[in-house]
Amino acid sequence: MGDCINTEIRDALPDLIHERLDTRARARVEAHVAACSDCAAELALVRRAASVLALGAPRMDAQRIAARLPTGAHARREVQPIFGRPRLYQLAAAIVLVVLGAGVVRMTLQSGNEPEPVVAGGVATPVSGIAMVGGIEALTSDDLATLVASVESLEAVPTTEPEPLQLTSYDLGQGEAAQ
Amino acid sequence: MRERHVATGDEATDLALIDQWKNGDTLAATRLVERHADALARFAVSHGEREEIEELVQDTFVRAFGSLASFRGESSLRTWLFTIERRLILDRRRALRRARVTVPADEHSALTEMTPLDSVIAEETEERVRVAIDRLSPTQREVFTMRVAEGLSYAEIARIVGTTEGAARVHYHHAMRAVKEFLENG
Repeated sequence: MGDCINTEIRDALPDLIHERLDTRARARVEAHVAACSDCAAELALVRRAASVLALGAPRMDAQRIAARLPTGAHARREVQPIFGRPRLYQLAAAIVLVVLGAGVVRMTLQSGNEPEPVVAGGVATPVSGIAMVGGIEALTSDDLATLVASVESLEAVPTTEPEPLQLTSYDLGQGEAAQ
Repeated sequence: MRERHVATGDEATDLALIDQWKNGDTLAATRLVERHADALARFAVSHGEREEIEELVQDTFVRAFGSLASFRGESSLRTWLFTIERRLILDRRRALRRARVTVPADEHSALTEMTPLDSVIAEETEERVRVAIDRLSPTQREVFTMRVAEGLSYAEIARIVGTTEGAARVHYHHAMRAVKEFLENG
């Protein structure tokens, strides 16, 4: 039994018996096999080998196997992890808000009687009930949940014309705002 | 770059059944097992396993269903199942070696192991084909079986055994040549 030099056809022989070829490819392979004794012999061998391999294994009891499998409820609980992507974006937004807020608080404390800076782009909703002491690592899970809720309550589009942005710089030695 | 896997009709059915199972349809699990259990049994036998085949198949499905929520369909479900089962077979062999239990030497000595099922195979030609396949090296037999018995593509085979598509193709053709030579020369 020789090997046909057409490796493309030889590679396709298992696909032929498993019906994985489209109509055109199937016709091409069958036409070649009809004209090539080597490929015809190899195709017969592939069929016989597939039959032998199928006979060599015991049949499985699908009902018995399926009865011991976990239910889909197990999967449903897993598909919505708390740190799934929507939650992750909200958490990231909350972290940015905290960092900005901490910066505003620090600037306010340093300036003393200075007017509160205006937040450009709309209304800054104050976050109540959270002590801005220390960094983000000081926040508890409840604090983070409150921040996330605040982020969710923010409007995406400002409802009023944004106030002009006032840029301030501080000379720490003199405590005066430069304009 | 790995080719993006496009679901065929059969695979679309698997994905639909997985979705149904996630939504609590237990019959969908039975359907999935029916679709793939026998193939997993053949895969186990092709790797020289002869005992507790159903337990091995059961363990494969338990592992698979335990992480089915994370199955993204990047490969076919059957390819994924074969990958899991292959790891279980290797783990089983390592455990047997640690326990100093003789592993059934099916890699090379299936010639002397005649199971009751063998007697069903009446045709001498079929028996010789089986012997020829059993004489292949483990890797050649693994690739040859997946290609011939399951019709897996070289890309799928490469993913399961952890090699390249080109290497899988070479293993297959070397195996085919070895089988032909045995049948011609005895």
